Amino acid sequence: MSPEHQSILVADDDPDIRDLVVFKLQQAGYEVRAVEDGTAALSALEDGIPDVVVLDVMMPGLSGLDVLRQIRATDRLSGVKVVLLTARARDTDVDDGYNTGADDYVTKPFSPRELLHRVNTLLGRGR
Amino acid sequence: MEWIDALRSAVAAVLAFIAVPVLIYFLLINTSYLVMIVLAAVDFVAQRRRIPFAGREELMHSRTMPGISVVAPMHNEEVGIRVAVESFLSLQHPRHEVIVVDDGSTDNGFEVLRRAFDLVPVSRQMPQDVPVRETPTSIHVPRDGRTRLTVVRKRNSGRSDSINVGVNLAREDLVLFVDSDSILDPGALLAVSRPFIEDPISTVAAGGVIRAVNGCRVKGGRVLEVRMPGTPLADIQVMEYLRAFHLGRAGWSRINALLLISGAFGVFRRDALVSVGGLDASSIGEDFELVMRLHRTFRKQRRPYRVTFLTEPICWTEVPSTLPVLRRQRARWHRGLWETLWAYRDMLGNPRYGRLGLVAVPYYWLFELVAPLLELAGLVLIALGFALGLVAVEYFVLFMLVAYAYAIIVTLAAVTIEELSYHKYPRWRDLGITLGAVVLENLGYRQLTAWWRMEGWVASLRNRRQVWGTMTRSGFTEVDG
Amino acid sequence: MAAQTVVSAPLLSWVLWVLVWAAILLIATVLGSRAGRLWREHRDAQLLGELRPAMLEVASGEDDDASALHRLTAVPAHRVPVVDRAVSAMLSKVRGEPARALARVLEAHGRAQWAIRGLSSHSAVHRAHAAWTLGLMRARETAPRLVPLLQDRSADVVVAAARALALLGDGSAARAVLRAVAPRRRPRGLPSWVAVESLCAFDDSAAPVIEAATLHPNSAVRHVAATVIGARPLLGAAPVVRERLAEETDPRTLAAFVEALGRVGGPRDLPVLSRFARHRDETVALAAVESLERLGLASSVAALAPLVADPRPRLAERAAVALTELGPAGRDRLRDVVAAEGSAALPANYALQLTAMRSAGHGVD
Repeated sequence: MSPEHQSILVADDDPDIRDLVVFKLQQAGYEVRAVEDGTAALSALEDGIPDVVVLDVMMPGLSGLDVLRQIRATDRLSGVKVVLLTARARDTDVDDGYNTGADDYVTKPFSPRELLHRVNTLLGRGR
Repeated sequence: MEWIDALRSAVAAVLAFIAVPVLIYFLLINTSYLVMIVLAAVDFVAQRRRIPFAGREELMHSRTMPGISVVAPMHNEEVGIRVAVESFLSLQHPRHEVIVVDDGSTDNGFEVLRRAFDLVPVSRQMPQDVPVRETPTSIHVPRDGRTRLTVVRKRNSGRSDSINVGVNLAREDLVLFVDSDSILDPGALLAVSRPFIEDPISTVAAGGVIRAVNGCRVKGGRVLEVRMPGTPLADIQVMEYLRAFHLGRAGWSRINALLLISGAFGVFRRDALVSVGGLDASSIGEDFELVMRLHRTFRKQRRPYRVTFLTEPICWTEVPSTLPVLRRQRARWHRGLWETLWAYRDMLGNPRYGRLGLVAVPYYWLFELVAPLLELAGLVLIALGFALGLVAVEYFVLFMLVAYAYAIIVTLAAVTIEELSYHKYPRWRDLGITLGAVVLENLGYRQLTAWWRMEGWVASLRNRRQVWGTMTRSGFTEVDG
Repeated sequence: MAAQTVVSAPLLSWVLWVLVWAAILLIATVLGSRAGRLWREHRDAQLLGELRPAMLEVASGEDDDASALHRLTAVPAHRVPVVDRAVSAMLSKVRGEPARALARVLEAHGRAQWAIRGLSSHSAVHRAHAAWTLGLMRARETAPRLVPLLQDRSADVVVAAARALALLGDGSAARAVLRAVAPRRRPRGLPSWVAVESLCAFDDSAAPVIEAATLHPNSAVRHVAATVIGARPLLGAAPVVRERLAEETDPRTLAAFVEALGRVGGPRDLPVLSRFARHRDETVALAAVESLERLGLASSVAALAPLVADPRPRLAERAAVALTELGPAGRDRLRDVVAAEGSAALPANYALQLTAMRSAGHGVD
């Protein structure tokens, strides 16, 4: 699969982080769509099924974990990989994330390169 | 017309006797407001400037963040309850639960919640940590078993008792009281938790600022754009809230002598609530009473404790938009103030309570409690003097102008601080409305509210015995359930 | 007449005059400050909008030829603070190579020297800003200069210094951070959570200092130490925690130690945790239940099961929920409790009901 056909949905309420993630992933050739909260993420998932969703855990409205739970409870989205973006590895956060069905997580402050690497790995596109 | 002459000389004598004290009193009360506003201003401006390095982001993910239970009593609020609960559930916080206590609603409120959240009954035992009058008839949770919502139904027993039931069922370390018609900013829970992780050993309570939501653009339980209400009655209250509840209390908090935490928005450590016995269901000024009881209990037991005030405006509530509702509210507030001050009169001037006893409580007696009485008395006297020809027209007008101009300056100072710090009102026309309200407040509103406050006070004094019967029961150890 | 001469009319009109001018001045301040603010915001947003692509390029580590870096450093001098503010905000959100690249923008603007000078400024906001900037720039060699600010008279400066030191990660500042929690001269110390975050960010050289702080006379300091031991976690500190459990007098600090033991302890701690789950103070008891669950051992089931019969409903319920988290063994045990129909049946039943509802929800996927 070539990256051009792989799409990623990014949900984060911080515009700096959102822009940065979008920029990095676009540079790597992914098709990226960004939204600013959990509710918008769910409606974006109605429109199309991305390959990967990058979710900020703590967003106003629906949290990242809530969105993740919804994704995992929806058959149509069963193939979607989810990377959680959490500020700091609070062990409970990470536990919750994995219990809820996250595929990977990246802690903030984050390295855009590391995030790209994780996404690549999830999509079987090693570097 | 001999009696008129007699009245004239009597009024003249009274005027001569009390004119100067009353004048000094007004000077003092307004100056004290001004001082509080300036004190708060120093804080606000510094707070704005330190935002970049104060670590708000990190706060959100702090490892030490305690869990918090949001307790919202509900009584016949079927219209807004669903949105309110959704917005409470979606507040940013790593670990919070929402407990709605249905206080014997006779409307469809519970059905609305049951359908919206797919509630199913569970059998839970309610702890009796805080005494309550009514025990739950049923407890419900969402069917997914995950959403951290609990809806409790019980017979009607009032707001305080409902909150106490919520406190008993609360699972987390902190408890937030919030009225279900209030709107919280998304980061409100993080903000209120802050004092508790800054000083986890001694912080027992924190209060927040309340602002009027009337006129704001609200959607899905969130304030999207802050606006002035645009109706004089509500506009004036916005000014009043800003001056008295926001800046005034921030000033008191700055000198470490805050007495009052607003009822619509207060956070308490659960174990502290349990140790003082929760809200007093028989008190009218239950929030004020609770904070006074915390102060008294902790001072008596010589336990270190701290009550903090948060200056960021994060809670929004509907203010009365009609005169009858406003009248009831003000009468109730003043009655609560009087009954609580009286019940805790031992704190007045008591050095054991430090600044509270020596500054804050005397201030409340002298300025908050007596203010409407003196204001009305002053008005009546000067009007009488004017009617009896004791006071010249020009002098009368000049006198009133000066008195109210000073009050206007105080409010304008508050508006200026708001503009320099939070500037929550983005529209230019709101600035115009604000300035109009500042003036209007003094033309009728002040006098009316002073009258209503007196009504509340008088009502309390009249059936004092009955009130006493319940007040003496308000000990902080045990109250019959 | 007496009333007429309360205050002389000329004095009154003079006062009125002053008040009217004061009102005009205040209104002018409001209008002026709003106009100025809106104008500045507009101007800054425009500049930052133009520089946004360059900033993203640098921050994402894609700026291979340093051209974006050059664009950011080439702004006219009077606009530099605007750019630096935006760069600083971004800096706190990224790490690794992009963080170093962004720091180079600040470096090129002379921020390092500015900040070092600013550490001794008379303005508290300036000192705090300077300290935070050095932290953001990850200027490790400046750590010794930041340490004295932990005793600053301004609380804001103390917080900024502690957070900057956390970004530098130098464990040698640990002692000073702990001292700042309970300063001798000031009533308020460094907020606990800031101290905890800093101590968690420091390298391992901080460990002995943290362990020693569990003996500090001030309970706020002990509380911080206990929390850090659990949060880092400092596995080597388990023996110290066990010792303190026997001596701690402050209930909230005791709860913090109990919680820490749940993170650094092992199977041998089950009996002592069981004992603390019976503690008179509910906060301590609940922390013990949480720790028993966290240890997550097969033997935790046996330790938690009797607690479901605790007379305190919150505790019994918490213990029951903890059992459901411990796998089939825990749930089987709860079913036995329900079957026995004692006082423990209610919380046990509730916990099982919740679990059943959760797994029913999961059945959809």
